[in-house]
Amino acid sequence: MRITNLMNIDLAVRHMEENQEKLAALRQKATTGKQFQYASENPSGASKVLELRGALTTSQAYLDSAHVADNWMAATEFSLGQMLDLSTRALTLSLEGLSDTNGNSERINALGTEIENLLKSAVDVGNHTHENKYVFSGFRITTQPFSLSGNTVTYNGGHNEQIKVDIGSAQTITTNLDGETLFMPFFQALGAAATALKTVPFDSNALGAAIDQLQSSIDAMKNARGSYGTRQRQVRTAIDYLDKTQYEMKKLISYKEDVNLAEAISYMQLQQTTYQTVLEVSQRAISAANLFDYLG
Amino acid sequence: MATFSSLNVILQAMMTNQTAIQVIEHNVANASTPGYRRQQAVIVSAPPAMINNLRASGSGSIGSGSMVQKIMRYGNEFFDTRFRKENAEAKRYAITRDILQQTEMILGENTTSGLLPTLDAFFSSWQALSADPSNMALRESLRDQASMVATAFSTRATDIKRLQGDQDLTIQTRVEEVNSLAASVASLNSRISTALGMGDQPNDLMDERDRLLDRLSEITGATSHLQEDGQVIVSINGHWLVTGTQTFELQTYRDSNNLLNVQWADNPPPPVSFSPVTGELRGLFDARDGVLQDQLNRLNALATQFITQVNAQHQAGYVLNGASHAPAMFTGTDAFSIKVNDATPPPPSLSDVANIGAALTANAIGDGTNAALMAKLKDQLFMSGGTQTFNAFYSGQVASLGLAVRKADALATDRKYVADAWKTQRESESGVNLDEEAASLVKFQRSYQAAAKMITVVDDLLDRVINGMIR
Repeated sequence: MRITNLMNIDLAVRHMEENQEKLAALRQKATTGKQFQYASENPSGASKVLELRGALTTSQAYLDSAHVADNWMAATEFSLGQMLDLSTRALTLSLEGLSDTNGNSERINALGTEIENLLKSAVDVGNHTHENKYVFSGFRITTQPFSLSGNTVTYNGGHNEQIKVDIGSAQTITTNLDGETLFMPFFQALGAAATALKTVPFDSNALGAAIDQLQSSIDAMKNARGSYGTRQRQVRTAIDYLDKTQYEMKKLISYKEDVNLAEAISYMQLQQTTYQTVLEVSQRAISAANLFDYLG
Repeated sequence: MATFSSLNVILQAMMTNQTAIQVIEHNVANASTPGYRRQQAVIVSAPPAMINNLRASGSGSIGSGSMVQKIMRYGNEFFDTRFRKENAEAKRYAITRDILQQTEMILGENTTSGLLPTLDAFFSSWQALSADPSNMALRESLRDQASMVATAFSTRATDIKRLQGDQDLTIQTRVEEVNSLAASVASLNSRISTALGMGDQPNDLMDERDRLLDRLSEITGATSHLQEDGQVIVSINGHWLVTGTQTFELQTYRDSNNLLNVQWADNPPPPVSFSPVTGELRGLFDARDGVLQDQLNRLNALATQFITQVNAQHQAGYVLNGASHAPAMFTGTDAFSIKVNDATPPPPSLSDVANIGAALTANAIGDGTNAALMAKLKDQLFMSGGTQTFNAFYSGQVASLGLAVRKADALATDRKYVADAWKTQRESESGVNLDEEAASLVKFQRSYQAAAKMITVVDDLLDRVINGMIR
């Protein structure tokens, strides 16, 4: 092929430009630490990363919800535990009341009054709040669920309302316990026991009925505690699972979009060497002497 | 007689060599002029003179020296045509790539401020609110997130629209350039055919015309056809641009989208539509009316569906601790007009975040059921006829823009390599090589020197005849 001077220069310029371009791309990879800045550099990789980031955000949202639910449930569980402690004491006192060794005044002053106090405490426990929200009043978290007048407790919360929280795309957990079904029988039993103890003459049948009522309400609370514990464990498991999947997703995102720096820098070094060679060769091609230089 | 005619022959030789040297000077001077085709003095022996033999019988012919027959111009129309075709393709895809790359950069979907992360954050805010529906801080944050979604949609729509509008200036200048190039080609046609008619070789005018044709093909993919009289006919996708000395002008007009378009200003009207198949203008139309318009349409489709579905679900909910249904979350109908409904009341709007409908039960302050349903909208298949989620739809759009950029880039690079190869071929054929010129220069210099020497010899001969023979 016939080579002209202009061709030499054009070719040198073109090669330098191409090398500069490659070098710039490698430099960007090395300095940003990312395989690509724009989807066009790797359309499938970019859309995968976008998808993963979306999934990561969603999973973070579920994780946050799960933590909120977990805290709420811990508060609920704590109150329930206290309630059961009270109930054990109430049962002991009531059974003591059945004993014939007690006189009327002991029944009334010691046992009856203590059970009344227990009822007050129990109502307080039922009115527990978590972050200023009543835990046992259904959706009406701003309404105090239980009010006591005499030995009678009235329920003011929502009826059978379940607070549900999503802790996964297909996992919903009910975080609250219905205060009405859970505590009202217990409160009524306590009230009945106190009334029976304070009634003169003492009617052991009435107290016996109150104790039966007390026993069954305690059993119901224990059962509820058991199943609630299962739910709590579900939330904890979900939190563990979400934590793990987040870690996996982050790893995957990094794998898709992050640059292996050692590799990037090696490639950059290689390209730099190539570029220097191109410069060297181009310099010779461009500045090569022609015949005119040698004519006398 | 013979001695004097020798002088003529030698003089002719000196002039011939001088012309050849002048051509070399011209070549050397233009060694790096773009589009210059090297020239060469075609030297032939001059017609012989018939003479009667003075000494013997018979007659013969005797050479009368050399002469320059013409100044030849190197060039190959085949290389020109191939180069222009590939170069037009390269420019077409390069301009598409440039516009789309700008779009990609402006949209910045791969950053945290992309539309997808914004949508994700919006739905996550709903998820957070569902777990704690009475939390006013969460409600405020949700409203902020909603307004970020609205802004993300509208800035994108406006940016794409502006990018489309930005092409108007390019189109305007290109059309003016084409018209002026066409006029120049027509005028060169006339001068070239006149010169050729007079037996001249208008080499430099032809170089100039080839340069213009290169540029014309770059912009519009115009093809040219050389005629016997030396004039070229230029046409764009079958419509004449230049024929002989006549030109057909292009003109711009605003279309129904208020974007600049191009048509032939044909006489008589009506104007004929202009549809180049390659070149910069084709690439520009492809990017603006193809990819960008498609992106905009899909963005609008997404916004419309998003507004409809979010509002429908939101209005099914109840305001905080109240018995009235929540108001619409967004106003507007597409990506341009979407806005958070936070107008000053009445009627109720999100200016009061208590109006965010997290509950699905009236008067239930702790109910976050509707918020959970709002968060779930993310997973529902609303787009593409009920086959894609919002995110999948838009992520597909991001990928399709990326692929369009990639495709245009690959084609631009490939076509440029091919065009460069043809350019090299053309340059190889018609470019100036200084070594060659130097060698030729020496050749003609020596011939010239020899001729000059001959003058001295003939002068000697004449001196003998004139001064030496008479006493």
